[in-house]
Amino acid sequence: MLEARGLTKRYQTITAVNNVSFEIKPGEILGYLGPNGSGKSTTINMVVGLLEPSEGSMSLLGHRLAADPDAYKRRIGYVPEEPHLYTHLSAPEYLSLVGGLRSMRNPALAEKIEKLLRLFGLWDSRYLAMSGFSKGMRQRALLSAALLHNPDLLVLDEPFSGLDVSAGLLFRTLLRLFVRDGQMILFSSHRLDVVEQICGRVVILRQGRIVAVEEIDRLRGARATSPLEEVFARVTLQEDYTSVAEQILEVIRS
Amino acid sequence: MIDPRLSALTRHFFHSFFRLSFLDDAGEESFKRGLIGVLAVIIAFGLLLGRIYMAKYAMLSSLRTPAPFQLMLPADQLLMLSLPMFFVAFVMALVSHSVFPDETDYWILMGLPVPRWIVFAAKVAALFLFTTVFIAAANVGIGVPFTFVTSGRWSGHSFVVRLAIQLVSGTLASTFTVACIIAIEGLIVVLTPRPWLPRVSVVMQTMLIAGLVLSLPIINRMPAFGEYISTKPRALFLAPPMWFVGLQQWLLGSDDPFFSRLALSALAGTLAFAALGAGCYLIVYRRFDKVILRTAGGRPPWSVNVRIPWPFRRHPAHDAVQGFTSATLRRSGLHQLVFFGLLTIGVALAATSAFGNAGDRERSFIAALLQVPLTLIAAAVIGLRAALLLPTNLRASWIFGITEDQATRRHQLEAVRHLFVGLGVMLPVALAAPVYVGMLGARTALTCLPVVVLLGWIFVEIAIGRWRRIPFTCTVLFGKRPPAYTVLLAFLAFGVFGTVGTLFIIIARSGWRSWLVIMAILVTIIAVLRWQRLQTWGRLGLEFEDYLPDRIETLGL
Repeated sequence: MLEARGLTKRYQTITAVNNVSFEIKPGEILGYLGPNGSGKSTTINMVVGLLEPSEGSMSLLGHRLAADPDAYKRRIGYVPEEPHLYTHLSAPEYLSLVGGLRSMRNPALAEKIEKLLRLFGLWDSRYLAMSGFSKGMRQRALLSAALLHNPDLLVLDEPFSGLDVSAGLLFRTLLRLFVRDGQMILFSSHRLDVVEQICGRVVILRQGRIVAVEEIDRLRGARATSPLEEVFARVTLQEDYTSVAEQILEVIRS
Repeated sequence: MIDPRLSALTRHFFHSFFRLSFLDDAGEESFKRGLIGVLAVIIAFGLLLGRIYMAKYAMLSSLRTPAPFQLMLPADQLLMLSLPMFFVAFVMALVSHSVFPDETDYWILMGLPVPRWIVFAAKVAALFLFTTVFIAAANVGIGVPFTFVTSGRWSGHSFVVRLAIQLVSGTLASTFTVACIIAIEGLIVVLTPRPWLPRVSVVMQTMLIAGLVLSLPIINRMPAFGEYISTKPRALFLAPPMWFVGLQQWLLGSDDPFFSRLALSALAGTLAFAALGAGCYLIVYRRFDKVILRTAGGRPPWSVNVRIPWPFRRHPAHDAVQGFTSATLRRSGLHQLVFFGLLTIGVALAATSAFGNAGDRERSFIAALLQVPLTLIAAAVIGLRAALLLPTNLRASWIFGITEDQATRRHQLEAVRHLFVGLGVMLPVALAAPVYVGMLGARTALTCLPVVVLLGWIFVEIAIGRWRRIPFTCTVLFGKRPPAYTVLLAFLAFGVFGTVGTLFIIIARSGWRSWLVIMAILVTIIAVLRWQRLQTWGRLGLEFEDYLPDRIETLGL
């Protein structure tokens, strides 16, 4: 289980994340939602150990991040929001780098890399530097790298951006099957339709605070029968979209 | 009325010449400060040169005949024209990859309602402004003090006339340099097959920098060329800076046909290269999409990843960092440039030192030869350290942060140490071995080279004693320490390592007992340094941020 307790991140006078607590049970995909600037990426960076929280603690399968960061990080796979990777490397080179850093040995590593690249449809581009990859191809390379060591927790920040329809379907199916044996996923996305389809529970964040933690069905039930999109808009107190859209058009046409 | 798109794009292109994409905001700010510092150094250097030449020309002006003055002047004019040419060429070589609109410009700008001519005109205008800044700084900074100190009764013309001629000749010489580099880069862009373009461009850039650095010993000796120039040899027509001395003499009123022909060469050469550069620009302009866009498919030239086989089993983290570092060094022009640029400085210093002592007593000459590999090692280690400190794609370094592990950290750092030993010690030793064998004999080489290897190893241990970084993953702040301090430190390292090291080699080759004693001392020093390094090596966390030297380190209690 992943447990985040009282996570807080302050930057001088700004509190980006304020007392956020949640947990992910084995076999669960937890949706992590919030409008831009709500503190989603900051929380994710704290969860994966890239950012030190000002307050609060995290533990994964009993390993506390503060006490034993190595054991904690070894169990995590991460796909960041933007496909930041070393684009001068080819996909097999990048995966070899990640595998090596995860202490995976050849020839088993090389074999695994080849199989993953073939299955993710990147094998034909194995000699290309990733600078020549499309965003979707980079996203596939990142997901392969995140899955390479069979992590207990997969943290995904907008993993579907840039993917074509078939890759999107493959990813969705893969994520559902991934958690079947007790592994966990923290899934952050703006694609509410996808969140609705694959997540069991969602955490909704607004201005650094949690405003809803519910199972999707119950959340929907508690707020009449509106789809997640409207529930999201309501709990995050978004503006009236029609009115804002009209104002934008007014500005454009002025 | 200037098209606002043209002025906006010109500003953008001008600023991008100063921008290095691999730096974060703080790094870019410090880089700009560094460039301003360079301009200040040129002006200070000009004033220093003026001070140095003041006494010489005061003495020459006091002589009864103008002959010595006229003998010395062309050689010094050659130096004063070569220095701005060198400086401008160096700056142009650094930015040579951005003198033509590139693929990024194509994708971003061609989608906007900006005609192609505006993109090209803006690039040319920005290039003109950028080169003007450096041409003006170099020529004014060096030309004004020189013209001032060469005033005297044999100078022939008023200060204003001579200054105007100095500035015209210097500006034309620097323009010739700019035109040459644009033409070379243009030919590469137009003629190189797409998949090879980045590599060829990088190799050319590195060769340009290396060539410039290797020309430093010749520039250093220019003031002594007076008598040689007076013999008017045809070989001088092969030296472009001399063309502009001819132009200067011709403008000063010389009716010597030798100088007239040199002046003609200066004008023809400048026009020819300017035409070639303009032609390349025209081709790229007319066929922007075909010339600039690369083909996506195919097997690029770097598909073969050369790895040196190693008989012992190493930790995967070691191989991962080694593979990443070697791939980045092979593919990044900037990193190659820094490493080979500084290594070439070592070659130039070693050559100057050896040839400078060639006419001296045998003992001095042999000492200079023995010092050659040490100079190369010092330059290679300093160059490699500087190259590994420069980041590449900083935003991608999260992968090292997320996989950082106490158990593997030491293996990752060991990969860096092995790279230092390979490229910083073994490569220079391999380069110097033929010099040792050829000039000192195989036996001396066999005796001395093991001592050199151990000395290099010590230098590496000192250089990486506090190293806590994965190469290319840390932010960098230029000018973190005062430049004078850094230069002093580098010279001190060169001086102490070269002098003490040579002493060790000389003692070691005096007999087998001495050799054994020296080897034992060096091995002991290595063991102590290694022990000291291992006290913290891999135990403290990796560094991903560069810090100012005055940063307060908290105890973290």
